[in-house]
Amino acid sequence: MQHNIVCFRTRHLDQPWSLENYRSVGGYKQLERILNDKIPPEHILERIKQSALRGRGGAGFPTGLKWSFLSRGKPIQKYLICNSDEGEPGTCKDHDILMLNPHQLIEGMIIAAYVLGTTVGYHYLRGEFWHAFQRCEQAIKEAYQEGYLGKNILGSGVDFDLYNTLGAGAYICGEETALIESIEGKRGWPRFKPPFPANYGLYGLPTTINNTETLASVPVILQHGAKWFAHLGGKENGGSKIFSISGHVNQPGNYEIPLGTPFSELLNIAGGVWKNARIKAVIPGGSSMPVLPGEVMKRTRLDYDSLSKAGSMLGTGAIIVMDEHTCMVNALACITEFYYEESCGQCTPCREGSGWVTRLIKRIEAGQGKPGDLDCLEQIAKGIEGRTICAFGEAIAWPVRSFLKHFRAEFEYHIEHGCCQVAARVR
Amino acid sequence: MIKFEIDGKKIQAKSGSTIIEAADAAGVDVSHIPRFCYHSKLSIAASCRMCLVEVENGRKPLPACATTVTAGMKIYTKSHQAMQAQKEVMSFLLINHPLDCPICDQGGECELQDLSMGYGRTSTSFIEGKRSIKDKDIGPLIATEMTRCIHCTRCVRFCSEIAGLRELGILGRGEHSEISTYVEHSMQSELAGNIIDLCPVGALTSKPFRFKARAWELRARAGIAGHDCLGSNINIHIKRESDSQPERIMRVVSRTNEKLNETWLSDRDRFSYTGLYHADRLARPMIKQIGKWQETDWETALTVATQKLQNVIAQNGAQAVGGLISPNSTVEECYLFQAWLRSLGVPHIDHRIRQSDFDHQIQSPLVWSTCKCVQSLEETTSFLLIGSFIREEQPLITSRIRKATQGGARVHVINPVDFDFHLTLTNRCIVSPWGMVCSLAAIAQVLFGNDKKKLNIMPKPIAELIRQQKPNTVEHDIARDLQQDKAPLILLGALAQAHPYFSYLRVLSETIAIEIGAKTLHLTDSANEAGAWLATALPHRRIDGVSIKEPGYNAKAMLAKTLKSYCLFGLEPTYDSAYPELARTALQQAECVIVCSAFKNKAMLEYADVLLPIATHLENEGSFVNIEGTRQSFQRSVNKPFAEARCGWKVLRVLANFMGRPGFDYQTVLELSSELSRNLENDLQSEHIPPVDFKPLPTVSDNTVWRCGYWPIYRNDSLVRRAEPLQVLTVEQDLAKLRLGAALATHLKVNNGDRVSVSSDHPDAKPVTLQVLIDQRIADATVCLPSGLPDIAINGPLSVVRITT
Amino acid sequence: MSLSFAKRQINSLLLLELFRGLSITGRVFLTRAITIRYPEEDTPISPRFRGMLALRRYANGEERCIGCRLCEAACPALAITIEADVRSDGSRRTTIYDIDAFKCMHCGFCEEACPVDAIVLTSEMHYHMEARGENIFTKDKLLAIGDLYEEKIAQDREKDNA
Repeated sequence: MQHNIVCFRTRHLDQPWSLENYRSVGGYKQLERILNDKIPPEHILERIKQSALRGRGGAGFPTGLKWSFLSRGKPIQKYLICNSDEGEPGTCKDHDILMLNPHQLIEGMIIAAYVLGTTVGYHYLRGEFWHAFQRCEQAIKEAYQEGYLGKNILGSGVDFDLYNTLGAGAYICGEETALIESIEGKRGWPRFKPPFPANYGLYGLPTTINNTETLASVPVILQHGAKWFAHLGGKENGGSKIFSISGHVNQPGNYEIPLGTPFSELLNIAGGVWKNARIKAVIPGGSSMPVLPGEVMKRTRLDYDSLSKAGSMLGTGAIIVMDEHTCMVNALACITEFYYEESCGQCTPCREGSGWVTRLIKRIEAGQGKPGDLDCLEQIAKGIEGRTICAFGEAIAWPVRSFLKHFRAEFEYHIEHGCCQVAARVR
Repeated sequence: MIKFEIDGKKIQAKSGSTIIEAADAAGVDVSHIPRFCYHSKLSIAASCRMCLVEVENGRKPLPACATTVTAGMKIYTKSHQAMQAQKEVMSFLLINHPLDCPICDQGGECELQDLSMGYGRTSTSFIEGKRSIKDKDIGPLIATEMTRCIHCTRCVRFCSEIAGLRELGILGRGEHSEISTYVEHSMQSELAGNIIDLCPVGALTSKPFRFKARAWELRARAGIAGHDCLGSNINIHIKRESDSQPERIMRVVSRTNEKLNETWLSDRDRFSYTGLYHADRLARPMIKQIGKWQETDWETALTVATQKLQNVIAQNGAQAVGGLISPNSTVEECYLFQAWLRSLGVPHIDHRIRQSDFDHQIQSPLVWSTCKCVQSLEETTSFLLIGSFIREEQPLITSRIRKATQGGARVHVINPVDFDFHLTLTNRCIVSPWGMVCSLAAIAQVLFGNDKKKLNIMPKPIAELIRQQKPNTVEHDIARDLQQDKAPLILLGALAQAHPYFSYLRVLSETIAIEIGAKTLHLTDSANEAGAWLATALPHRRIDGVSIKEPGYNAKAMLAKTLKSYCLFGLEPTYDSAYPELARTALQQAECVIVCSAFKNKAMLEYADVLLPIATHLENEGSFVNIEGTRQSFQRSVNKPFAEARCGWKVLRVLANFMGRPGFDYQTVLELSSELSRNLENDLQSEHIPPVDFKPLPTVSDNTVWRCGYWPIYRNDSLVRRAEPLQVLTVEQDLAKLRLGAALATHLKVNNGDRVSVSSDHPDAKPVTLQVLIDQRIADATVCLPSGLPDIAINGPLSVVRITT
Repeated sequence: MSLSFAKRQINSLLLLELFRGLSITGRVFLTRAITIRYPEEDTPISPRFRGMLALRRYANGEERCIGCRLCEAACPALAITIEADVRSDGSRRTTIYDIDAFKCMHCGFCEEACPVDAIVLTSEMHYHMEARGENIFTKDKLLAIGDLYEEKIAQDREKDNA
């Protein structure tokens, strides 16, 4: 199996973020080729579509299709935004791309801008990514010096200016319309859709927003060809993906492997479960995705469609592994508390529901649960799901519902006995 | 038009309208969709989620306020899915909302309470602790109980979109988010009171009304607001008489009129009622007997008034009597006032108490601005505003202009002070009062200065003034923009009207308007100026529109000529007149001063002989003519005005009866109104009036200092001056300062905090000592000292003043 | 027809109705007397008895009434007059709370309407007025009555709730 061949292709080098090292693996070659040969944007768009590249930010929307929504012909200002507001608990892949291979992202953005016909791009980083921000600033400076950015790139007549923007530390700003609001200097509140950003985005103009990993994959697709990329993974699941595996494994970290790799194989790469304990549960795509029991997960391949079938989603590819000593009530309490703190407060169900869910679960955890609490919890989660402006409502509801679906007995034990089943067993 | 279905009923709506708009337009009987954050006049937030409805083939329920209808759409507002969603949203709203409605001031008129009857559950499974938030102090008008807030953000959107001042925002996020001013301070917007009406819960309620009454005890009567020339529609809420209290006006709220005030109301109109029961209110008629005031009955008071007035007329003739009426009086009152005095032979009748320049009055139109332009203000793309602190003078007209600027309209201003309008100004000429005339003349020069023919037919001093000008770039810009615009609007404000060269400003602006195809609009700062003109409370015109050959004295001359007797109606000349100094002297020397007023003041008790209490506009009946020329009638809201006070028209009628004048036998105000209407319907043809000479250009030396004496928003009339919550907002010590620019301060060698004496430019003028405040917004050679303040009586709001250090 | 007529004649001749009546008198004669010596003795009354009106306080001495005016709205006889205002501590309180005892018909709707159990009808029915104007129970008077009868009121509520 091939590791680190797309976004992490400079990882084996010393100082992998430097321009020379990036050039040594073929960096900026594709951009030069496109601009020198004047390859029509439609051809590149076709390649991206063939590569079956899907959004790596969580929703898994086909990138080629997304790009085709931005009508290239319209003679108005359009924007390209790279979303590096990586806030999903468990996810740390974009941070590593920014730290280890910022130039590949820049090249990807320039190519995307060329395809989309935009002349201005924004790179939105989450507020805590100060080091990554510095590195990206340096990389953009270098790219300007080399003439890859700015007016008349490499004498081709194509213009593209790229700006880094630092967020102020809100999870919700990872949502594309909240991110747009944040760049505009407003409160990070998601907008009601439709209109979608492709029609009404940054400053009311057509905008395309892609995840860091998605954009960073573009130069490699063009280098090795769409077919090569598509063949890395399964059907409709092209390419390789960085998985951030964390929790009870021996070697947590970012692993870039082809999509469709069985989870058990990734678990082996990550050194197996910590202290040889049994695996109890896995959240396969960041904390907002439904949890799956360990046994189910062991049978599942890591790609968009297989995980959907198993009852969860690939999400951002942040895999959180929990061993048999984990109290699922406590785990859920941690997750809901995060969403309680991060709810933006715009829509009623999410603002009020997140607080209710959190307080209820904490009460159960503290041993003061009452019969009927679990039904109530289920009811609240249903009340939030699908009733909010953005997908944040689902991010609260899904963990609650999946934890209750798979581990209801443990919650019931908590209510009945006023203490934790796992702790009792260990004792 | 698009055809679609709501709850199985076939409905049509304009394409592009949202489900909620379409449902509302179709009427409540079709489907009432519950909502909190949606408001037809504000942008769409779609955040409360109360209006979720089921749309056929929809994956999940959609917010009706943000979803546009499409042809053939099938919407279910009462289906299981929709109801489930609405009920669950309601349960979320109620978990953190206090359920102590009996203690809440919104109880009984609360949208959340109403909807919870239909969508709320009877029991709760929520046993966790509730969120509570500290209340904010946002000033004397609005009481807050922020724990009750449901985060609909209507108030936030109102402030930024309509009031033009981002005073409220959300702090924190999620459940911790709270509506607040960023740093705790009073709300400064003159439209802030509207957030009381907007708030669907009891988070923002009226402070003066707090806990005083319940919605179900009050009876609403339609009225017309009487503090600016828009004629906003209001509902007056009255509490019935009880064993412990007489009938009382408890509050004023807005009444929707899309043509005028939409759903809004300015704070001045909303809270002026708080002055109604002030200690100054005249409860019973009063007469002065050997220098002592005593309360009496109507009969005695009217007899005394009749005798005194008849004595003066018998001894000195009717020429010795002057009549001044407030332009805030109703049309009927103005009509009766002039009819009564004219029947006595009194020629001196006027309502223009704030005007300084009456030249050219004979050529002024019969009716001021009658273009129906309030609604079209939003579509206007270019405005020229001359001499107006429009935000304080006409708060709601300003909000219309603000909306126009949000759509890209340009606003050009010629003012002596760079007032803050909370809207984007394109060009501003901040010049001295005389400079205003020059600037306008400069614009005229750019537009047609080379056309000798046009200049030759103009009055000589004006043509000369236009020739003299050397337009600067700003004036060029304004002229170009006005010229290029399709239908610009020229607005003359209260400062223009009070200008000592008003006739110049008027002729210049009208000439410019004709040249570029613009409309002019006079924004008067009183409720019924247009009505007073129609009813000819004027010295130079009869009710049939015919000019009087030898007109009586105008408002200024009446005071300057010190007559033997004055009849005042609804006025406090020492505050309301442009010539408070003259007014005091003239009234004090007069033998007989008969005052019909709702309020008394110290000066009035010194000069008056008879005080007749009349109703304020909230208790009165009659009609007002607004800026558009729309006559709006209103009936008495209360069974009877305060204590022994009577409606003004009745007092005037009985005065005429007492003096034995025939023809004053009106039984109801309707009889009076219809007689007046008949008079107005007669052919009001303008007769040919020969051109009048204009006064010559003034000699303006380098040392001339002008005063800009605007009337501050809450010092405008008797009622507002007594509204305590509004007075808290007007910090008198701040107003009673002499503001001037740095250049003038250097020239006069004064600093911040120095005390200087100011007087009008007249040898006998009494100086007033004031503190200096250096303010960059003031034009060169100008000082800003508001009018209508106590103890500061300087003649002429925009005249030359003398300053001695 | 004739048969019933004959029956009636026989009945009246035999004085059957008289004996039936006397039997009741005899039975009652032998049971315990149910009359009492009013006013020395009191009849037992229900804890829900609706007598004189009173305003209650909380244990800490704070008046319960919050001036919501629901009793005023509920009163079918318009006997209650309330004026409310903001008290110095910012809370909603009544400034005037008058009940006209002449108008009051002790229907108890005010007690039903009260969300804080402030206005109550005590079990006291022995009260009178001596002068004009005393029929108006002012706030002070009502509170004083409440203070006087608090123990009994509390007992009655407890019994009623049990």
